[in-house]
Order: sequence, then C-alpha cells, then structure tokens
Amino acid sequence: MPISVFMAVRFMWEQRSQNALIITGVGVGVAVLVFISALIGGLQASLIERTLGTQAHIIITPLEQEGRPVLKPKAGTRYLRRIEKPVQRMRRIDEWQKVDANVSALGAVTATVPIATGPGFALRGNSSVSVVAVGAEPNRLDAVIPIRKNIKAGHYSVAGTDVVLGTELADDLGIGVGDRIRIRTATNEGQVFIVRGLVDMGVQGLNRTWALMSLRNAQTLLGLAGSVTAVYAQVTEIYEAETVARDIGRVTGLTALSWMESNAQLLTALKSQTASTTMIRFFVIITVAIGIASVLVVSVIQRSKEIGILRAMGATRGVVLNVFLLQGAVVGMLGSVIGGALGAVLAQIFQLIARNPDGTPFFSFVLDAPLLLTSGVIATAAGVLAAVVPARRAAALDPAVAIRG
Amino acid sequence: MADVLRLEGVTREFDNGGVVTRVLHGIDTRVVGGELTAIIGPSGSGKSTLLNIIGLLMPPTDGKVWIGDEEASALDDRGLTRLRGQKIGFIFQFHHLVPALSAAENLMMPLIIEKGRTGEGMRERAIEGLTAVGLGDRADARPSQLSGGQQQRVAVARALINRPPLVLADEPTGNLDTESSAVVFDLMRRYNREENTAFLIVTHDPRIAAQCDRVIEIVDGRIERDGAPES
Repeated sequence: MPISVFMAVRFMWEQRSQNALIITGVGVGVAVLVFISALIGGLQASLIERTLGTQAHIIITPLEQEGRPVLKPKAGTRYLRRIEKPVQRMRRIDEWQKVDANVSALGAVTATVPIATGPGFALRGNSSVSVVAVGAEPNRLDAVIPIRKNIKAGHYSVAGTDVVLGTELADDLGIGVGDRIRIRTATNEGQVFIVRGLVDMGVQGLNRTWALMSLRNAQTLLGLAGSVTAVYAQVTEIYEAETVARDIGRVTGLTALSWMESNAQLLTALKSQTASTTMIRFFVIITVAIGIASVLVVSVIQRSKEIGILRAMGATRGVVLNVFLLQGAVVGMLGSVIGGALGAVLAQIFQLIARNPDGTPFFSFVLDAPLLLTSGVIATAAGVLAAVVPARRAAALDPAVAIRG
Repeated sequence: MADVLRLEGVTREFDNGGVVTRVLHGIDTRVVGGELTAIIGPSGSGKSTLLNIIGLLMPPTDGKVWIGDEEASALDDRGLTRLRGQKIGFIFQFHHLVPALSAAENLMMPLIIEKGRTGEGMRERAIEGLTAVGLGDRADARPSQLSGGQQQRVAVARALINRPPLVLADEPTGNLDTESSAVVFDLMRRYNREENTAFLIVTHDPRIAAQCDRVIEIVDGRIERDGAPES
C-alpha cells in the first residue's frame, strides 16, 4: 500500500466520528443533488414527451403565398403602395414524393410522413360538428405521432372507409366504434365512414376534432388531387430539430418549422428551469466543499506535530500533500455513494406519494447511471479541490516548527 | 574512523521583526561513527538550534554541514528529506509517536517512508525492534496505552529501525523518572556499542552526560568545552 494511502486511512480511522459526520453531510448534499436533478430531469422529459407526443419534431409546409406588386417600380421614382395579403387557399405540396425522399435522406431524420389535413364537418343525424380530417399512411403516422398506444376503443384502422375519431368528438356526436358517420368539407359533399377506433391524445383540442383517415380519402375530401398539405419529420436528437429544420428548408425550398420554434415559450421555461437547477447544484457543491475543507483544516492543525515527525523521518512534501488530498477524495467518494443511494430512495418515496388520481405517478424520475456517476465524480472532485488548501498548508509546514509546536 | 557528521563555521541568526539575533557563532566540530556524545549547556545557549541544523530541519545562516560525505547546503528540499530519512534517526523529549498508529506501525514508518509503500517483512522487523527494547508484547498497543517510559523506548526503537549512522536525541530522558531514564539511556548505549551508531544527545542531566564518551558544552552559541566527561 502506498505510504499516502496508509497514512490517510490511519488518520481517517482515528478521527472516524468526525469523518462519519462530514461524510453524512456530503451524503445529504449529494442526495439533494441527485434528487433535484432526477426530479427536474423527469419533469422536463415529461413535459417534452407530452408536447412532442402530439406533434412532429418538424413540420414541412409550402411557402406562404405573398402578394406581388402589379407595377414595376421605375428607378428614381417614389411610390406610395399597399400590397394586400392574398386570401390563403389550401396550400399544397404537389411533388411531395420528392420532398419526402429528400428529407428522409437526411441522416438526422428518423421518420417522415406525408399528411393531407384540412377542416371539415362530421354529420350525424341533425348534428354537425367541425372536424380536422387527417389523412396519412397509418404506420408512417404512428412512427411520427404515437396513435396506436393512445387508442382507447377499437383499433387503429383507416383502410377503405375506416376512420378513427378523437374520443371527445365521438362523445359530441354520440357515436362509438362500429357506427357510421358522414364527413364533408367545403368543396366535397362528403363520404360515409365507419368508426373503427377512438383515440385519446391527451389534448382536448385534438380529441375534439381529429378524424384520422387514409391519405387517399383525405386528399379526395380536401380536393387535393394527389397532393399533400405537409410532410412531418422526426429527428434523432430533439434539441437539434431547429438546425435540421434549417437544413430541410434549404434542401426543399419549403417552410420547415421545428417544435422548438412552435413551442418557444416552453423552451424558455425549460431553459430557466435548467438554470435554476444548475444554481442549486452549484451552491450544494460549494457547501459540500466548505464542509470538507473546514474539517481538513482543523485536522491539519491538530496533526501538525505528527506531520513534522513524518517530515523529520524523511516523508516528502508530496507525501504529506497526498495524505490530505486522499482524505478529501475519500470523504467525497463515500459521501457520494451514500448520497446517491439516499437520493434514489427519496426519489422512489416521492413517486410513491405524488400520484395522479388514477394511481399513476405524475412523471418518471430520470434516475440513471450517468446521473449517479456524474454526481459521484462532482462530489469527489469537490472533495479533492476542498482538500487542496489544507493539504498545501500541511505540506508547507516547517518540520522544526511543527515538532516544537 | 569515518566522520558521520562534520560542521564548519555553522552560524545561525534569527530575524525577529528587524532585530537580528545570532544564536550560533561559527560552530566547528566532527562526530565519528560509534561516538556517544552529550551536548550540554544552559537553556537558550543554542543546543536545540544546533540539533535542528544537524538534523537538516533548519538551514544554517552560514557555514557547512556534512552528513557522511554529503554536503547539505548543496541539496534541495527533496535531497535533504532523502538524506534525513536515510542517515539520521530522531528521538524527541516528548517521544512524538504518531497517535493514529500502533507501536509496531510507528516503528514501520521509517521503513515505509524509505520504500514509499508498505511491504513484506516490515511488521516482523518492527516487532523485532520492539522486542529489543522489551516491548515485543505491546506491538498493537496505541501510544496512549503505553507509559511515558514505554513510549520513549518505542521512540528509540523507531529512530534505530533502519540503522541510521547518526541518531539525534533532544532531551530523550527529560520527561522520564530516574528508573525509566536509566532504561532509555542503557538502550541507546547498547545500540551505540552493538551497531556502532553515533549518538548526539542534548541533555540537562549531568548523570547522562557523565556516561557519554564525549561532552560538548555550548554557552551563548559557542563551543565552550569539547572533550571527555568530567569525572
């Protein structure tokens, strides 16, 4: 065993009560660190999952139609002009197969789905309810927006005249699985569909309006004649969506809107939350470091004679330095093991207590190996850094003065 | 016989806020292997300062110190530390054992320091050393569990464990009763004869000084007398 380890272990064992206390203190600090990180991580993951559970990471749509001046401006002439924005017709992507292929070819894109979507009415007897017709190939849509796992009744089928309705839309119409319904649009007299499933997307706006059908049926209803209104895309790294959207815009010449742009407020809230978590973590680490440093400073004062004797017997300054740095590291490491376990237990208890009325937890904590490992490394590093000043002080002791006391 | 220690014009001054006090005035002396030397003198005469300079714990303001054939002023802190560990043993008035270590571990420390790590056979050597001072059965006792005399015997055994050619003892019996003093001095005398170890013993006890081979008397930082003890 190296001499520094031998002495550090003996010194720590001799002051075991004092060390047990400071290790417990570090443990509590690390537990707070782990718990807060897991809580905020879980909360953020849950918020993002809920947000992205009903929308694509990137939505590609045609460019907005803009008015153009009728007169060509002459050089040197000033005009007073007003260009009125034209009435927006249903915008469509005609060569969507090419767009779809180009977007799919991008490495960061994991899935795409061409969509034909537009407003319509669901008619049942005398009642008429406004709906949003959403036409897409079911498996491809499911890869971008999870539909199957949200089906509450029946199953996800849009083959032929099959349709899947939002749960609240079905309630409004007073229909269920197996019932027939007519859906029409402003340009089409409509078609009769058979309700094959009811989907609960967790968002009232969607549950009250969505009518999922085949791409072909939606194209016919919306008068798109083989075109689509958008292409949805999923990316591997959600926080890269904005960059990928810019690439898509450049490649396709269309408008590509990322979830980050369409949820700017959410993103700001998440960033603020991350900043406040970082502040909490910073102050916890500072507290832990001050605790370790204060114990080691006292230890150096108490042991100055012993340090002098060791130096007189031939121990180098480096050995003395390492003895105290190791003590800091051991306190940090043991504290992080205890704190990691304590933080995990606290997270479990919180999840048992804080539950939705149906018994499910509010959200899952993000308590994984990287979090525990990072907390351990941070606490150990804080222990070593906190030990630097007392260790240097110990190493710098003049042995003659230290022995004399 | 070869010199284990040589001092040439060793001077030491202390600067206390601009007031310079000269504690040692050009000390010249040499100690050969196997010599048992007492350093005596009144309090404040510079005995402990001289011992610290010889022990390489304090540099002289002027003059040169040789330990064996190595000149100390030519060495940096690391070199001084190495020389101290290899060539010099220390015995202090208040034993200065490490309380966190057992008696055997205290004896092992010079060996561990020399090797840089614990090693095989060290504990056995420590127990041999303790047995030699009559404490073989107290190997696992902490210093706090030993009497003052026993603690000082452990300190003597520790100073000698790696057989240094020179041992410096600062008032080694100053804190002991007459009986324990005699035991500790006999130990040093025995090692001096059996191992040919040179001892430099700072003492106020005339009985200890009378039993040494040589007495150096220091008064006001100068060697006043150097020779055989007065009978």
